Amino acid sequence: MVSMGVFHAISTEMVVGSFAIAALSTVICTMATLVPTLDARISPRLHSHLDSAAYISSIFGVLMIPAAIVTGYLTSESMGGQSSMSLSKMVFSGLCIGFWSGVISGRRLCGYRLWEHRGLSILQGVSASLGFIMTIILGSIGGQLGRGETALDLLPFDLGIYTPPSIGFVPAFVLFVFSVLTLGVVLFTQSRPIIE
Amino acid sequence: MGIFNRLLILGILACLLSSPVMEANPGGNGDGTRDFACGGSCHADPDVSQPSSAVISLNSDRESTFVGGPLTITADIYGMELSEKRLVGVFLTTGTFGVDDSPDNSGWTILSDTNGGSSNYVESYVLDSDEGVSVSWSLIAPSVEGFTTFHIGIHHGGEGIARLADTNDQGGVLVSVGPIPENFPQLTDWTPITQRGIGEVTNIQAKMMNVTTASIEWKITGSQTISSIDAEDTPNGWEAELPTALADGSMEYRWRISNSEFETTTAWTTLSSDSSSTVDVNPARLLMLALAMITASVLISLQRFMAEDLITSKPQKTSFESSKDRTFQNTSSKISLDDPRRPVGWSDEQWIHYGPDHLASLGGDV
Repeated sequence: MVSMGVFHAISTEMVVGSFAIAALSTVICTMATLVPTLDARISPRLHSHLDSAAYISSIFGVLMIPAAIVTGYLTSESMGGQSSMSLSKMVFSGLCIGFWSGVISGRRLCGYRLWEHRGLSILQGVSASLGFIMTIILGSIGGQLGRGETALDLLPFDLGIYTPPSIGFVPAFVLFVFSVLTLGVVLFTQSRPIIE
Repeated sequence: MGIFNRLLILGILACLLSSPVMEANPGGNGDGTRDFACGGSCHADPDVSQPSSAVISLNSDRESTFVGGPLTITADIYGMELSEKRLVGVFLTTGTFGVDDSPDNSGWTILSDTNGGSSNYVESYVLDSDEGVSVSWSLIAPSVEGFTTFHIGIHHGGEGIARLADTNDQGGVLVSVGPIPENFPQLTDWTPITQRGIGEVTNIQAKMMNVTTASIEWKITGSQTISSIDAEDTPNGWEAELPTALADGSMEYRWRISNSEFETTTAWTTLSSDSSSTVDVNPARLLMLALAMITASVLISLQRFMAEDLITSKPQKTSFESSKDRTFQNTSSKISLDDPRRPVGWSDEQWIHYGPDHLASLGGDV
């Protein structure tokens, strides 16, 4: 019998793998924009391939996140229900989705010309890096939940990632409404530049 | 792809996804007051079960108590086979004959179990068989003097079969219940708190008699370090405040009470600061969605703001071009748009892109 944990492992490995490719490619492209000597060493064809890899793999990773969340939820149910670490996972999942959505949005908005702009390149690199850090944290929490240990235990300090923020339903709902309004304002009132 | 094939694939996927849900008792039967035979479960049926390799160490915090007095029983279990679920059910019994052997049948009251309930049967997830699991119960002695032998039994899976073990061969732990000494300090009215939420202030309150000083001793479960908090005598009884829990887990606490003649403690009570039943996931779900949308909003807003610069500037015909454009540029430097060998009807783009191949097929130079 194949347990839900196996499906969760498959989906999370696809998410982590995709985001690793996306983060690495994005950071290299960003560095190429910022460091002319590095740019000179990267052929245009390689740069173009890195850009495409970052774009496609980030889209694939974001598409796989719901599968990872659903299988993770079902796995935690079979392991005795939700714990506070599961709540931490939910919170970091939100940040992870947000950062990677930003990465995809930036590339979709500007196309390949994104890398002509230093500011946009830095923003893209920072977003991808933070998104990947969130992915690592999610994997670490998963390791704590499943095996009771994680590679991040090697760090000489406590990251505090296993303690979820204590928030009630009403403040969370207010924040949710505020975020919906914020996204609506950004998407529907801020002009969307057409990049040729 | 035909509609039949699509339905077939969807059906297969649905079967694959639903198969784990249809397993028998995937999460055990839950904590509760159960006899070791567990209602004729597979574990207790010798035809379908096998012995466990577990090593069970059974201890009590005292060998004798008094009528209505405290007792803590602790069991350390390790070396068991583990099923895929890694679930182990542990029984505290007053016999191993399987029926009517829970402590309540002998007059004992379970104040708290290791999961924050008051059951003689508790289930625990064991991540590492070598580390095993430690389980404890806090009990109140019966109102009748006498002797009781406590046993531990375990039920679990492993290597595809139900397994069981008990402490019958070890002989269990014998506890005597004697009379209450005169002027002995006692708790007269106390309902122990066994569960609390994260971030919640926990005030422990109890009414006592023959007590001149009282304190709460507490320790993190599994730790040997014991801390103490002095209690105050208030009109509502003796009160002390336990430290607030910042994460899920459990701690144990007990009263230490004394007068000029005696000093005694209650049994260790397990206080769980989290459990599957008390976690409210809805605020976390809302927070997850809110953080995703806010983060995306900030990034999109910044991107739109900065991308205005790209409208005013011309695309750089350098290395930052699409691969398609770059191909045009690379070839355009080598081929003339006014070349007389250009076929009639070819657009500039067609000529730039396919021109070199065309010229090569004619045997000419670019």
